[in-house]
Amino acid sequence: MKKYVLTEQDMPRKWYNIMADLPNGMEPPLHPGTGQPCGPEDLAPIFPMNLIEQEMSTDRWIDIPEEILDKYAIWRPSPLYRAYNLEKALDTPAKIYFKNEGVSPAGSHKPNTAIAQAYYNKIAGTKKITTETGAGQWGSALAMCCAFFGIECKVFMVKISYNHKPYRRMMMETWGANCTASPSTETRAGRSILEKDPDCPGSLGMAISEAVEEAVADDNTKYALGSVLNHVMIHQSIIGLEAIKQMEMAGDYPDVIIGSAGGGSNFAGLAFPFALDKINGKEIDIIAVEPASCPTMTRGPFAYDFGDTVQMTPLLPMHTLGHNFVPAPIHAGGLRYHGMSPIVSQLILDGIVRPESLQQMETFEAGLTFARSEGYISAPECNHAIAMTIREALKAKEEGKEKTILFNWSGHGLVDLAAYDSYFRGQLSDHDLPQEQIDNALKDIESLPKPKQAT
Amino acid sequence: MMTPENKNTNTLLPDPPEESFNIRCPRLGHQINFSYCRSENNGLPCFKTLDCWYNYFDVHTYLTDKLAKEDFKKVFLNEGKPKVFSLFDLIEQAKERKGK
Repeated sequence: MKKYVLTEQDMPRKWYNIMADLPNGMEPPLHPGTGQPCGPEDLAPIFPMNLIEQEMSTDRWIDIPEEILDKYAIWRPSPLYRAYNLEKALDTPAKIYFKNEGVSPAGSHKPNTAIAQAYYNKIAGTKKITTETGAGQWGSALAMCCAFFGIECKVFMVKISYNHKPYRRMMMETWGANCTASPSTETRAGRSILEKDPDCPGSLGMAISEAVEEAVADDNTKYALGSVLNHVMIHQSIIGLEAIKQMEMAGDYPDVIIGSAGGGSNFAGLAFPFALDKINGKEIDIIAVEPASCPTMTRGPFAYDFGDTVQMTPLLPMHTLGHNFVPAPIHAGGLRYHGMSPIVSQLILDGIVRPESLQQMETFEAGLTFARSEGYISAPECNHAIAMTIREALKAKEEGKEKTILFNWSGHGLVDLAAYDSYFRGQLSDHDLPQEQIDNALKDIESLPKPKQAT
Repeated sequence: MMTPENKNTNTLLPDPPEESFNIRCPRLGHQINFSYCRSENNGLPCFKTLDCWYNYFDVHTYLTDKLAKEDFKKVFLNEGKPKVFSLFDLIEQAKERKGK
């Protein structure tokens, strides 16, 4: 069978919350102002209480309201495919499956949480939701879902992206959102920036400041975030929960699970329900893939706390330590990676998730192999998962092993064709560090604390 | 959007590539040049600038030279903090602006 399709009746009725099963738990974040564990009231100015409760919940299973299931049914359950054509192209004994999250109207996995957030805001009485977006994948998903529930949506889109990605902006406007280039004249934060620099191209930091300001200024307005936070990971778990049922239909179970990880939500969506099996003793290799050009998980932060000495850990050696490098946790509460879901970070430290990084040329080559065998043109981020899948499939071939690989095809790249065009025109390249540079840099850190290598 | 010229040599260029050279920004999701990264953070560099540009030119030395020590420390020598902390900060800042 090529694809495994669940009926709407088979759609999971509960989300999975991995907070209930983390091997080492997670310490609650302390409020930086008070030093006390943060409580619901700290987030109340920008999130409705029902979502804050989910954010802090340690319940393993959370009921999915019928109204959300009704909206999910527009494209869910999403199909699980056996990538026979890719297998053939690679001449691998590995069985490759992928979960197609690009079938949502917005073209990615993002609506899985956008729908839930719009719904919970609706029942909490929210009239308007603000958010920030870069290229617009999240902004367009939220715009669509706010339209479903009759909520006004305002998206502050980073100005450079607003000019660079007009099609996403048009999608947002088609779904009825007010898409505003940030910095804007509509908030104090925006006006303050524009007074100093009228031509400011904006940034995600500025856009989020504007979105939060509008939420704080009005009791009927709330803010939504599309990644990183726990409640987002919970909503995305429907991907993996469906995949578990579909793998059962296929009479199979994955040895390897792969997802690209930026903020962690599409990776977590597929991986977390399977991670529960791993926590309970099942042998699964769960791989989170990121770009080698800008690593977050595989290199970790380069800032170590040396007390008062403010000594900087040399940058280059940290990159050269290899793709299995995981810095030792320095502070109580564990390591937190910039921009990555704290839960994903914790699972890396716990050895449940293995981070990997890939160079961009390999990911584009993989994207083409996939497009020319399975047909789908992937979002560039998604190509990381495909490239890692191909690596694992070729490894299986070398080892003569049958292996079952499952990856999350998190979205199409039809609004990202400019990146493919750059690849075709030879305008992309990989850059390996010169060995001399590596050797010199390694000498510099001989006396510094040695980071722990992941196993 | 061209490749820096010295990709096959043993040393990294000391200066950024020309403006027409773009790389994919993992935060925004599209191509950008170094000038944007250099001043993305209210005139200071984006916190990921070193991560993203380290293999295109000697960005570490370049920014160490160009930035005041305090600014370098502020941008790059801080512990990654949970997103929720950033939200707390933004809420407080927005409340202050609301009060004005």
